Amino acid sequence: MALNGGERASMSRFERWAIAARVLTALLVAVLCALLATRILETRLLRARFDLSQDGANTLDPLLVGVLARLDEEVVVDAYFTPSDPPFEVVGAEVQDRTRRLLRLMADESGGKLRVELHDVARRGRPSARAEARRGELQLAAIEPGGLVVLSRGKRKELVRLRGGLADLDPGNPDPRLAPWAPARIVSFRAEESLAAGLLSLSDDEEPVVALVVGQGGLDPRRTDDFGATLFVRELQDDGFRVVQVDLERGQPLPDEARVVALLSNAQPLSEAAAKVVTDFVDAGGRLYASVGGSIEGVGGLASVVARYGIGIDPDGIVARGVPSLGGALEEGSPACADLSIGLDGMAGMNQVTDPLRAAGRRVYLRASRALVRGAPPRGASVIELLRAPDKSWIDRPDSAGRHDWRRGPGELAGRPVVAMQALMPALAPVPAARRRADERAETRVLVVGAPDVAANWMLPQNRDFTLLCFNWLAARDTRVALKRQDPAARRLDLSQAESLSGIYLVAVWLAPLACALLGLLVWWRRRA
Amino acid sequence: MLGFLRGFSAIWRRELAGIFMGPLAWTLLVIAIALQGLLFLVYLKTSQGDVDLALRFGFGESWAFWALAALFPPLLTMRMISEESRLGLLEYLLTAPVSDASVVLGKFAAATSFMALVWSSGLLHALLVQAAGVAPDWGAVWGGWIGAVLVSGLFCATGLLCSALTNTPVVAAFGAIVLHIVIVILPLLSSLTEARWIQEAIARVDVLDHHKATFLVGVLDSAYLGFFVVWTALFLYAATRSLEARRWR
Repeated sequence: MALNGGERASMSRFERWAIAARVLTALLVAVLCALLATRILETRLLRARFDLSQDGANTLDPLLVGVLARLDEEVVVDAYFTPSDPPFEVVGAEVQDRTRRLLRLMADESGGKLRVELHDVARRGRPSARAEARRGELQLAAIEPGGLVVLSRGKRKELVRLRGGLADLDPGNPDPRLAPWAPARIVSFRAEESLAAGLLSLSDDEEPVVALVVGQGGLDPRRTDDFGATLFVRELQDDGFRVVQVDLERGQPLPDEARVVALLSNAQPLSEAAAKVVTDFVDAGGRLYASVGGSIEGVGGLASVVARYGIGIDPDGIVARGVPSLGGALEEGSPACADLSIGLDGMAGMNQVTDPLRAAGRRVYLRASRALVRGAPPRGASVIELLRAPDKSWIDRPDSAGRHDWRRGPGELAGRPVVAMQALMPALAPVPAARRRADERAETRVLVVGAPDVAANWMLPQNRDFTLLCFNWLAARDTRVALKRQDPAARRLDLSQAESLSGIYLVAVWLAPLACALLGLLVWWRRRA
Repeated sequence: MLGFLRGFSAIWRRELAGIFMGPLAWTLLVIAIALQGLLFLVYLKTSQGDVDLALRFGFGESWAFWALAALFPPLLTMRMISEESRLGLLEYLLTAPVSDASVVLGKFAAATSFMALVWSSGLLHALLVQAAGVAPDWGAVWGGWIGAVLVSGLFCATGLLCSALTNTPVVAAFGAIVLHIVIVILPLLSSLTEARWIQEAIARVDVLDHHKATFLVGVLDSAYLGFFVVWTALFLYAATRSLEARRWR
């Protein structure tokens, strides 16, 4: 029933407006229906998701999914991305891109408990007022090149930096005069793990205090060179610990709230008084982390301190193992024999420290490690062999001049010496009120690592997870996870090989369009005919 | 239902044949394939040989993709209803034993099929790098292609709506191109404002983000798939109603 000209002309202005209003209303209703439908499709019940990517790069680790499911209140993620310094411009941007995608996945998975704010300084040239306001609220002094991600819940915050936090980057070789040119690359993309650890730390309200004993020639937390411990302090702080330096020899007391005492490779033994302060602390439900340093014997030496808890230290041997040659045989006689790489088979099973490492396929690297032996533990204590040297290792003894030949001599014990040990026991003395926790048993925990450099700046990047897991076990925190890292597969075309590009150029730019044009001409010709 | 499918199939084949009988489709195809081939080489070089990144650029990470996606569908759909209406051919079609919905859907399917062919050059690039010795992430490649087809489907639906609203093909194409430009630059407008509610509202209809966040990285997510299906259906529904209204004029 069409309207004829007369009917249309007879329509009043009011009727025309009424029809227009009805059309607009219908349009609005349709748009609202579309919005509602998309919202309904986003509900978890109706949602299905398939990750087609080859390496499952778009699927969250079940551990992280569990962490997100356990969030009890909203966590805000502020991502500040800035251009990276040379030579990391391209790979830095790739890390940022992957992190953006990961944050999107996490936000989708969290069901609204994770709010992501991307302050993309790299894209927009200048930070927005919102980015600046958030930066003020989060008390961020400066954003380093590449940027960082801040997780915050109320006043608590956790920082994850791009380099070292979201990913490990290799600068490659930008100077072809020295060696073949190699572009910068992502060695390991570990944003998922770092963000999971950050979320776990946020949900833990406590900030355990680590008292780092200084003054005995151990790793210096102020030294930024290879044998300093600045990185160790930073990693602990990033993981939610508070690190306090204490010089016991100068009469400084351990803080009342100290949870863990750390003795990092002391070159000199503690004085008797200082050693007593440490043992009194540990006896009363305190926690001790020690890496074996130079001089361990004597009254205040580390050997006597940890022997009290059932852990013995071999006084003069270094654990060694032959270096694999190109043919696969183990070669002895080189100082490199003191380098140990401990994998799955050398790690204790069913253990809070090593299980995450085993699950993620990580290794622990130790150098010049002393062997540890089971001593006489106090009543009720359990002593656990945490790390064992690889198969075919031996304890290399020095000669009378103190030199090692790095060859297995007839009297040198072969096998798999223990290089890290932990001891757990009920507190040997009453726990002071300041340290008493209602939700925890009064326990003494001790963890000893035989290698002096395990936490040094040059070795920490390899042993970061192991070290942080040790401290989290000591502080009785369940906030460390080790997830399988998503290392980008090397899907790169070698651009220096001219033929690889010329073939693509020929087909993609010339042959394919030409074939299309010819086909079009053929169709036109046939139609014309 | 069978009648609807029969009508839809007949219209689809007729429109597809119509597209490939004319010179416009072949010209567009040659331009698109050559341009994408050239840009693929540029992406390969700028990404230092990263094959996956270069392919992602071709399927939606670059502005060139969005330019093609915004421009091509209106050029295909501009004549589908308005030109037929102007020439009086639409009357024959509307009196044929096919429903309005099958007419619109058939035309939509033909235009989207052509766009699927245009984006297949990305698959060709993936095959070429595989032949050069580097196997790409085929999951991400297929995801990117599916996303590109869905984006094109949405733009073909808006193009058809514009075509149904006017009798002049150029006006239909111009209207659709403007609409597509607005859709594409909408996220940029979001960054100009500090108001969160505006940003959130824009994020709900952000086509670029819905494509890049899932399909482009090799994820098939029903919510994101639903986003494209729902909005495409909305525009097709509006086009069908508009076609139906022509009977009343």
